[in-house]
Amino acid sequence: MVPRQPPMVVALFVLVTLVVTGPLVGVDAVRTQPTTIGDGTAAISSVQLPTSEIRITDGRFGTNVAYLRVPDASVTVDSVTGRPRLLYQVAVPALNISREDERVLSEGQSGTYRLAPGDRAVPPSSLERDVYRGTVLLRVQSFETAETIVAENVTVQVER
Amino acid sequence: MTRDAEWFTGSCRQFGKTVFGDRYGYVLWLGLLVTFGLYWRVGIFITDTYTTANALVAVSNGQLHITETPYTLTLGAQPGLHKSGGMLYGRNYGQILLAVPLVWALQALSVFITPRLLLLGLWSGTALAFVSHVSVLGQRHTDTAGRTVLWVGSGLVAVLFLTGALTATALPDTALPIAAFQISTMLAAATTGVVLYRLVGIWHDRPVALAAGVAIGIASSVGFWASLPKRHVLVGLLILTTVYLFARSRVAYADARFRRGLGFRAGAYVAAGLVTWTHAFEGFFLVVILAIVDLVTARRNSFIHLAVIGLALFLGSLPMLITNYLISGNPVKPPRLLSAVGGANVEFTPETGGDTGTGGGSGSGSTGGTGTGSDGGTGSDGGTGSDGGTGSDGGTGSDGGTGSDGGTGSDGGTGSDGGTPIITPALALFERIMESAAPAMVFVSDAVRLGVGVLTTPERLSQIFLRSGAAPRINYAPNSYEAIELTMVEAVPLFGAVAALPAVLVRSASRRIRQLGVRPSQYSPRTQTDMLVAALAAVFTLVYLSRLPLHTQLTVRYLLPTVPLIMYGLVRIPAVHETASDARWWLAGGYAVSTIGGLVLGLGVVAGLDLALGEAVQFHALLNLGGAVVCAGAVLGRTLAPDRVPSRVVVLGLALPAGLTTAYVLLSGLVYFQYGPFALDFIRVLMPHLPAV
Repeated sequence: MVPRQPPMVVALFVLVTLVVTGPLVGVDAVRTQPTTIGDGTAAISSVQLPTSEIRITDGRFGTNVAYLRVPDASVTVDSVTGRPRLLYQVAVPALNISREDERVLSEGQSGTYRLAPGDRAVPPSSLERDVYRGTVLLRVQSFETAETIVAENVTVQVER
Repeated sequence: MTRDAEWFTGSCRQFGKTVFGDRYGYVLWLGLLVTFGLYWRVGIFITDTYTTANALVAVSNGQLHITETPYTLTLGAQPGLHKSGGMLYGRNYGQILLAVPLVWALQALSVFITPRLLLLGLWSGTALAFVSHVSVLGQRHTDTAGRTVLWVGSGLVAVLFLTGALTATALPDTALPIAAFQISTMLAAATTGVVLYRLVGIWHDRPVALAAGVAIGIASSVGFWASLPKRHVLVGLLILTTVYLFARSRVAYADARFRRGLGFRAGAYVAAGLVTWTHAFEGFFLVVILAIVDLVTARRNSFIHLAVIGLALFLGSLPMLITNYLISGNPVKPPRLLSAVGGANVEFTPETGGDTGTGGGSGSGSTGGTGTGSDGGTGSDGGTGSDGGTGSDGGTGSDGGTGSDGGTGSDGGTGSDGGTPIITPALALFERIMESAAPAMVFVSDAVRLGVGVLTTPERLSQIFLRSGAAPRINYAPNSYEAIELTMVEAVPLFGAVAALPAVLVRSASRRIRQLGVRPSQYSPRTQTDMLVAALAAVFTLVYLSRLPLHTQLTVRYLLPTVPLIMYGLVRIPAVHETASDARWWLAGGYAVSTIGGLVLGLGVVAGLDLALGEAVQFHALLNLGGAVVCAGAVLGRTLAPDRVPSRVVVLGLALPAGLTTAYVLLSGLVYFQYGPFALDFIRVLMPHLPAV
């Protein structure tokens, strides 16, 4: 015979919690994460964005592609009203490639956010030059405002 | 009242014994489900799934044709969508029908429970059942050890549940059908583990069988696909079930228990027939191979026996025939044979070529707009084959043929082809069958012929089985040029041990030569089962070779149904099963260490070298290949020179690749491939603390 006390107690607890938070009883336990942009704005106090690290290097471990290496950006937000979003984008227009990451903020969510677009693979055959012009963009956007925090042109070295 | 309760628990126990064998099988099943849940993301990973998920919603609403599209913006451009009589249909209806009860169950429960907490609650319940059964394994329930497991396990589940409930995020109701679809695949994957456990358990002792079950569940590519609702896991399960029932029937025949043997034999044909419901092409090959090996090795092929298995095959195919009839009006014309919507007639192109297959957004690139859509093309190759589906009726017919063979008293050795003209009474129907079967047969023979052709090109074989890197034949554009397609050995490095198979085969063949006069029907049940497994693994590899290597395969998913079969073959190598039996604790410990080592190494390299997705996957590929080499060396060495290679080395050779694979399977779900929110919020809150690609 299976001794059942501890699992039964936990199972009972689980069941009660599920029903209590369910639609019939209605104790609200589920947070709706803001994923869509709304009105409002955010005040940015500092940005760390090592644009010199943007470059194109060969993929490792036999991937046989090049990668546009995009560094993470670290953004410190002082105050938020409404539901604006942070958008961080790096693009190389001549290669028609870009990477971006966004974060929708909601009221009261101040703090430091990390935006990590990750690397973008480029077929080596499309690389014809040693240097490309790239653009870096960091913005706060909402239905009301569009504030540009960083807009830079950078040279993207191809290191192969 | 109490008598009813006793009767109920009694029949539950009986049912459990029939399905799981014993408590170990049940614990294995629960443990695999709990593990799959940890890296389960609710969402769609491969574009082909949009069609099947939309079809699932349609079927759960009581119709076969698709009208609403909860998972796509528009209707008409998804790969694998087919048209008949002005209505749009999906495919793989067998797989879909399996998930429909789950959709209903989840939707019914969501009346009381919010969807997110419902998933958390289901996981917690499974984990609690796992804990309470683990605590009494091996009659430990009087031990303090058992008590400790019980308390610690329950406490852990309680903490995880609380964490999940306190950090719960909303999950929309529309996610429930796709979640049910994923659960059905997880159930199939876990059951594959149990069936392999039971199959191996017929010949070997329990530690060996358990090791095989765990290995197929989370140390092989089956674990990778566990929560991705593609058909391959389900087809693999049905093939393995066919083999298991076949093995039981041979054992029963050998014991002269003919009625019991016939029952299992019929069961094997039902399972094989059911495959046609999901993929008629694969079902056709399964039925043909099963029929040949079965008729050759059966100790009794009387008319009654053959009539019973013919009936069983018909019963197994009946769901497919009915579904086809409802959709196209022709019972032998499966959806894959109907005209495709959106992507020119990709269904009938044997060679997809990279160009047509542009829809395959796996990886991070898989957003909803999958318009270009013939990744289904990849599937649709299968699709081309699925004509084979119609062929499979040819299969049923041919079975009747064999029946008549046995009737005339010949041994039925070769007899599965010649018999078709005999079933002429329903001439009209027969002509109709042939109408679809003729082009289907062309594709069946093409698949085999082209597959044999690939065998002569070592370079291409190497890209399928050994080293992927960036394979020149693969079109990487659909996946943003990320080299995420692994080969068989990279995906399942335990298969390095296959290197020892030739030596084992030569040895057993030389033994066999001495007893040349023995007919196959007098072979031991074990040898007969090995023959069936070998034939199935060979054929299911061969027929897909001409379409490989291909993008959006990730672990050569077309060959996934062979993975449980090859794993079985691996366990049958003496060096492997003797080690798993003698050094079981070393093996378990080594596996745990190797898994943790693989996780730490993978995360460390991803963070330390700042890897991109393709680089991370290829890093694991190289790591796994290393593990495969160690495995091959150890097992081959032990086979050739048992005195020189101590069993500890074999333990290393098995534990290392198995652990590395588990690490990759976990990391691929947790870190590398992000296509939807985690099902469990306690995992979600943990993940930002890990490095990302």
